[in-house]
Amino acid sequence: MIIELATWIMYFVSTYFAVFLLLVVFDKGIPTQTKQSKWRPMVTVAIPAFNEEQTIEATVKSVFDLHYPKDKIEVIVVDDGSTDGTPAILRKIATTHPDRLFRVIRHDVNKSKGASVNHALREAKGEIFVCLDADSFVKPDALLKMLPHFEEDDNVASVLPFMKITKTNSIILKIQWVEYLMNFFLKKISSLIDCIHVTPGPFGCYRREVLLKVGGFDENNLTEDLEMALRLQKYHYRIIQLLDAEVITVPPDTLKGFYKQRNRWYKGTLHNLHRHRSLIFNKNYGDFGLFHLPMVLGAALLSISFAFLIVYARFLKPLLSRLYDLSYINFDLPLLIKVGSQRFNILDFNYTMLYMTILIFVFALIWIIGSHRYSRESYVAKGLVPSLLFLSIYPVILSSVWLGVVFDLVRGKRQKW
Amino acid sequence: MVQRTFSWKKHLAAFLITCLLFVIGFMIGLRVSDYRLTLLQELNAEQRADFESLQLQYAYLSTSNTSCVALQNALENSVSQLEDSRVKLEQYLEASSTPTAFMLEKREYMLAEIRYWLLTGQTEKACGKDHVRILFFYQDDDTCQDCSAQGYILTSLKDTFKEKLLIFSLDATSDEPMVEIIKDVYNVSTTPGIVVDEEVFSGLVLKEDLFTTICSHFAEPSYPCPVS
Repeated sequence: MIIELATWIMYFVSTYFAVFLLLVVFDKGIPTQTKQSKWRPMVTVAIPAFNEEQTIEATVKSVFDLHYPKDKIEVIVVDDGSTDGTPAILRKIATTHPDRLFRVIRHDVNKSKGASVNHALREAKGEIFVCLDADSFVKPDALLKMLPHFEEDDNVASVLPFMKITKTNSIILKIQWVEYLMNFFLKKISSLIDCIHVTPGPFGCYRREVLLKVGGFDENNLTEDLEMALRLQKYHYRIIQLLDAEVITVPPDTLKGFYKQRNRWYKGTLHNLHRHRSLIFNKNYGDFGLFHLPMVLGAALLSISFAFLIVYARFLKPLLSRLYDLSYINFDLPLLIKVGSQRFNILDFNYTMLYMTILIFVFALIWIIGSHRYSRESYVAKGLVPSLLFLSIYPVILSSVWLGVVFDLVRGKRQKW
Repeated sequence: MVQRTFSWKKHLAAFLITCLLFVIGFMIGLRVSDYRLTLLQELNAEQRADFESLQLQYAYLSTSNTSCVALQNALENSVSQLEDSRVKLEQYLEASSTPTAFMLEKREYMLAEIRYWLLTGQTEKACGKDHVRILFFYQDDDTCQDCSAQGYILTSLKDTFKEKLLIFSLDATSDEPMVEIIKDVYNVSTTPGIVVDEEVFSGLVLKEDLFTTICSHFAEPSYPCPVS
């Protein structure tokens, strides 16, 4: 009975969420025109790096290749105590690009990403401060597409690009490819109602004065980007998500790496939501406080419930029970098929559950198609298999991560960045 | 500072649309449930007609010198159909949002099982014994973990023995007094409980053991039982 009720609540909340966001899209529309302006402020790009010898050169090069005046863009790489070839590569970049405003700050010991970004923030001269992860590569036209949003509205504290994945040569990468498309589409819609709760590391642009005003990044935080977004929201600043400015990122390509990353993200989410709990259900924050943050918490709960309800109660438990029963007849499947087909009636299906499942699938498909359309990615050429993988495997993986988070929290495991 | 608003109109619309979608889902469920109940009632009515026919056949048999073969074939066929319908009933009952109507129907089915069980006992006397009767006491809730496994074993044995094995399933938790009486007569206190003719077993009986027991109850063992 409890499982039945929880399943229906899960279906209701998911449907409500999907319907609400679709109504937002129908009402506000998703802007497809790229904004342009002649405003060219000084920009500082901060790249925190810890043992990034594989990617750092390409990352810095992508910044050098930005369509922006050389004298208006400053690059600060904070080498956060790297022990690999990163320092040598950075020295080489500095000598081969004397015409660039390029600086390296060295930490003798590894501090944290937050500490590295704050160090760069203190040294930065740019009016606009940009964080770029050392394993991400920005597209040349991204900055020019992002800056007009700062010029247009003084309330804008941060403008975020669309993070994309280009390599999809494994199942976990394929799933993340769809996930990123869908999540950034969701963030775009959320930004239409000022409901963004995370400003991801790769090429997130900020007004430097706002960052300094709110006290910079939290240096001891698992997800300092999420914490910063919550703080910006707390002070009623606006965060804009774009779909036309792009940055390429390299996600974990193994299940273990994926689990580790997500485990950290989700723990960070819970920690920071607890820290900024005064925002949740706070009517002064409109949709952000009354709808979005409760939904973020609800999504965590939904994922855990999904793991228990769908995977365990509806799939695993009956399967194990059936296997137990079948073991007594030596797994005589032909007999069961014969008897089952003799007894089969069209009324045997659980039509209500079938209807709800189809409904959720339809919403998911609308989401997938919408996200591919606005991200200008061809889901037919690349996304059909990934989309199917995403629909079938992703909820299970996500739930497993959440279960891992709950398990870690219960046993009091300390999380490292 | 961003002017925050709560999009209450959109939230209200989203809530109403979601409710509407759910109401449609529940209406589908209720409609299907109605169809299922109607199907079960039709099957029950058919069973009743079959039973009356069999009773008449039996009465006629007692007054004339007609062969038992036709009666026994028809009886076996009806018992199998009844068992299929009972399985369906249990399945629909579990999925039903209106269990009361299904519970009433289930009681009818329990009575039908008992009626057929009694009739087969009577025909044995008139026609001789070429089959083994099994009474299977089960529970359809989670408290009886082995009931489902016992059901599979019986299904498998039914497939092996075919018309030579007649299975009558009774829900041990049924409110039907007749079920209670039979339980008392055979002293069945746990589930799964099995009565092979007059021999009583408590708890799960393995396929091989039940096979041997069934074979031992045939007056003249033949395939699939080992013939000495």
